[in-house]
Amino acid sequence: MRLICLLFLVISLTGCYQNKALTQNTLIYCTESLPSSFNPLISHDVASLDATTHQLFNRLVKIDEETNQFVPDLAEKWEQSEDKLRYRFTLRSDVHFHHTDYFTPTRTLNADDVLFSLNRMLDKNNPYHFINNQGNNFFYNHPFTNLLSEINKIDDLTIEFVLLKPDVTLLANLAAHYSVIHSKEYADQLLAQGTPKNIDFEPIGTGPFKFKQYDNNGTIRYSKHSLFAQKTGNIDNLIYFTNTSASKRYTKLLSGECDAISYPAASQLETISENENVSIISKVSANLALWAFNTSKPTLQDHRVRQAISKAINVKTILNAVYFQSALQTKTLLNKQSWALKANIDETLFAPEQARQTLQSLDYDFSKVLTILVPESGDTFNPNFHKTAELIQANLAAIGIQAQIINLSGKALKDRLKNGDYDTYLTGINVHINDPDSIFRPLLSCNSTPNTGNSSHWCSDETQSLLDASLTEPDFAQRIKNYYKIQVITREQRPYLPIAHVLRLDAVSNTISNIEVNPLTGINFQYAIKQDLK
Amino acid sequence: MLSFLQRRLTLLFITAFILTIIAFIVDRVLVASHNPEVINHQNYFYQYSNYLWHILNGNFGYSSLDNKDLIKRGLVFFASTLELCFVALIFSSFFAIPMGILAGLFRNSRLDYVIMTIAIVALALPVFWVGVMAVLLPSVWGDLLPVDGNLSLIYDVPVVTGFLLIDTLFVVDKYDLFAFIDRVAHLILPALTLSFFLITEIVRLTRSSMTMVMRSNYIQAAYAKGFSRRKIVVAHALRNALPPIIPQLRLQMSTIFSFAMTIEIVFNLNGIGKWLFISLKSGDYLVLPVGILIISGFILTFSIFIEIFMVIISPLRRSALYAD
Amino acid sequence: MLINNGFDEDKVQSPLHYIWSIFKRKSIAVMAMWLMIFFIALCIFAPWFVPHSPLSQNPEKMLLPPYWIEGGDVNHILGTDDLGRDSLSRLFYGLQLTLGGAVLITVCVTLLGMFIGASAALAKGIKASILHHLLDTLLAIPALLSALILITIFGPSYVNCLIAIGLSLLPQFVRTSYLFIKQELSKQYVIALRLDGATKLRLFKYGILPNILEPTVTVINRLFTLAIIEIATLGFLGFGAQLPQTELGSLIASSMELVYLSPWLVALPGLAIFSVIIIVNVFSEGLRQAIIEGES
Repeated sequence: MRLICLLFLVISLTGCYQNKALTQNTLIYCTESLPSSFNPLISHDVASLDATTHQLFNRLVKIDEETNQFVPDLAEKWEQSEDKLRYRFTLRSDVHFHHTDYFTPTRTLNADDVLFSLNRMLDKNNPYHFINNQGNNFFYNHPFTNLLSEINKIDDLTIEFVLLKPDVTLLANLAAHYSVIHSKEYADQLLAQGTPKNIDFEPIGTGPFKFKQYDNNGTIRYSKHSLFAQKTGNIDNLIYFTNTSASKRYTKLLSGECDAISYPAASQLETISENENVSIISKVSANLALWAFNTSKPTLQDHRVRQAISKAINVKTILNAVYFQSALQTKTLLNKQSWALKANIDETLFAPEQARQTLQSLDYDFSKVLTILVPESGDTFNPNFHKTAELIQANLAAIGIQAQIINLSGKALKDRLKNGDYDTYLTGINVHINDPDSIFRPLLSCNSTPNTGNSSHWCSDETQSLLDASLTEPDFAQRIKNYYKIQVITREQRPYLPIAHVLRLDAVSNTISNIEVNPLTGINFQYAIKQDLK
Repeated sequence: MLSFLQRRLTLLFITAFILTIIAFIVDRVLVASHNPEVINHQNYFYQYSNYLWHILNGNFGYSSLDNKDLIKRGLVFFASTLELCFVALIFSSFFAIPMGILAGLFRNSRLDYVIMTIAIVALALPVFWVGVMAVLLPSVWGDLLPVDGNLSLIYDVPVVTGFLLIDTLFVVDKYDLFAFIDRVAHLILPALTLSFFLITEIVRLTRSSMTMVMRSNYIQAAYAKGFSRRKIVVAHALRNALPPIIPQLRLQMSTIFSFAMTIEIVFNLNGIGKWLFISLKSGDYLVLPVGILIISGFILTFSIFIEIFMVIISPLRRSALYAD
Repeated sequence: MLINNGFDEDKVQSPLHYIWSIFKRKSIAVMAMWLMIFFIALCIFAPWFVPHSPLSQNPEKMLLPPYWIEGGDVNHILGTDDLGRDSLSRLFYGLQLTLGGAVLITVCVTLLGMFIGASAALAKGIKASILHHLLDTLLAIPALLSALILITIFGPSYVNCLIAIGLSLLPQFVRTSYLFIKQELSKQYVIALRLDGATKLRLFKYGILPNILEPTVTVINRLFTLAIIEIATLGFLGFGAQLPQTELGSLIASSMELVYLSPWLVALPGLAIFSVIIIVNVFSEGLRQAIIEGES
């Protein structure tokens, strides 16, 4: 009897525990990890980009989702000089910064804000250059290197970029996530208060949403920026919630507690696609999962050894077992969309017997245990590192090599990478701009450390000079040739075994429409529309 | 009475003192094993008194991740844990006490076996497993009950007391009672899971206490007087059987917290268990001594209060007033 | 207590025999006992009869369901996991770590706890007082928390996890055995034994131990149940057995994301823990009843 009473109580409670009226203009996005800051200039991880680029900020120009052309964003228009060395941007006059508890703007956007925002990266004398930026070499090795000679303010609403030599990538760089425009007025206020660090954690921008609150339980709240002049959807409240478990995120999507989720579990894609109330947004990204060989280790110094070990790995099984349908198998570092991809590569990838024979002929020491260093938790480029490592371990065992998996996280992992005590490292790289340099430089440059991407300790004069030359090379055809050369070298020398290009996946409830996902700059809720549930 | 109170408070003082020593040792060892460069070479007595002085001044240290005051955050999280335990306790008493009484009255009958089987089954279900399996519920039931989190995200409830059931009542003018109802809905599954263990304990304790009472001489005497069984049970047995359960249950408090912390991690509730777990995973080890001080400090203080309370309500225990 | 069974009229049955003869009549408890023996044997001899190695992968047969479900394979009775490893074999090996660890903890904690409890009960004055307060404080630290502390200090591994759980369960056991023994000590038969000049050891072995048998069985059962739950919990949280070790809790944790695709990978290890606890509880309840009946 009591049981029945209680059941009634439960049902009557739950019948109304979700108040539909309140959720009407609220969009809840459940993500897999916390943003490391609220400034895409200093944080390039997927979670930070998703939480900032399109929601809080604008750039001078953006790329239209449909036409793939550059279209104005904060800039009204731009013109190029005859000699193709000068770009002049006219800013819109009606752009308001966010009005929040911690900042009240007194003026609209002007050229000073643009100058300040870009100079934080370019100018070492900018008071914000070193703020929140210890150990991040992106600022010193940034994409504008060898591109700009100066930026001039012509008048309040006009700004001019002067290039060192004609270069088409300026617009791409200005449309990238790191070129978002901050408020100089806010920065000055923070400096006066003595809390400049807050600029990256209590952000002020011009985007369609303004920052309201971030609590450490993983909830970020945004509200609508009422003075936002461009077209928007009907979302008034935007809430981000972090839950590391993909099944829990999907459960919440089903129960209506989340309207959209990032990275649904790879293993659940099939189940999700059968659900007619949910649709999956899948985008090809340049993000790459790879297996790095530590070339500074004596056993792995010979490129033929690395080549042979690579041949022992059944990448296809990894794709099936770990990624299910969430990634595309790859033989190259660049993805298919890249203009520099040298496509005509024909090689057998999986040939364990051949691998064993090669290793025997090279007098490889089979008794030595090969270490596979693995990050403890999954990342956007690998849903399950440990499982991948176990598959690799089994593949290696099949050709007679004992492998040991070392699972580390956080500081321990960083330290291990720093002191180089590993044979191989299972990792990946997130790519933020569609430029081959953004993937080759972290992986292959002598200046890059294992913690910034070069986990193979690769350093050769040839690749370094090719990399540097390509950056300043005016002739596009020559640049492509250089990148072809780099690809040939990496294929022969095999510092890395590319595993897969990962898809950017989001699952969205069908009550929500018009979400745009850009694999480079993040998700965009500006145009999102939530349907009435009634 | 005064000397009794004084004795209990001395006891509390001594145990609290031992607790701070334990927390201090944990603190030092953690610092030494994870951050060897900042080892303090002063003598331990000096270090300890320093540590104690800081604690007495309310300075429990700061998070190495975001530099926030550890004790403040810990207490807010602990409030949520307490809320969970409290709701589970009420929930399980509601079922378990009648079950225990019946089992005790009809000992070795078929009813007794059924009740004891339920109790064993409830104990044997691993808490975290129930939590994981609960993830499957929405695909079976639809959106009947939330399986994750403290509160729906649409409600922005400011922290006043840390007890969400109370805090949601402060925002009634904004959300009506919806926030409160939402909180209750979010508590149901975790509290139910936690009460599995509690039901076992309470049934077991009530049953044995009831058996003891029914065997006692005064019940026999009541029978001899010719009172009906019903009257004997209601008027005599229950009054004497139930109070002894409380101090017995108090001994299980640390186990209950253990279970509650696991449940928080599995159901993703913002309680002290999840806080400790997440902080440890991201390398903030200093939460551990603070966690010990909060949880164990609470258990010790609460135990003593229970003991004093028991002396006040139960005449049988008043002998404690005059002992030694 | 003394019973003549009609055949050996002058032979006195020992209490243990007597309890056993009562226990034998409880069919459910006897079944539970055989099942328990079966499970323990399963753990010990798992390496000799499991159909597959728990680590051998099979890319052709990933995520097979149990064989009675459509698409199952007779070679893998309980199906396979996401790397094509045999679930049944992994379950046996998992049981080995979980159940084996719990048995180990129970034995160690019982012996050590009994010793400390007894010496505390027989001790007097300041020694007893210090121990008492220390135990009170230690008891107030939840087992999960003390396990977390020890594992944070010494690093997560299966052995550390066992030590941590053992240490966190010890105070509870010491406390209860101390209380039982203390209670017995004040009884008159103990005083009589003392007056006879019995040594402490003799007093404990012949006087106290048989009389605290019933509560001890309950406490040991509880200890064992908690040990299993704690081992699995820590394994689940990633603080216990480390991959590629298979422990029931960590098996559940590693299949968590697959719960929609093949729920049995999560369900089966949970059911294994569940049934082990049930069996042990039924057995100990039967034993306890037999002891009570034997005493009355």
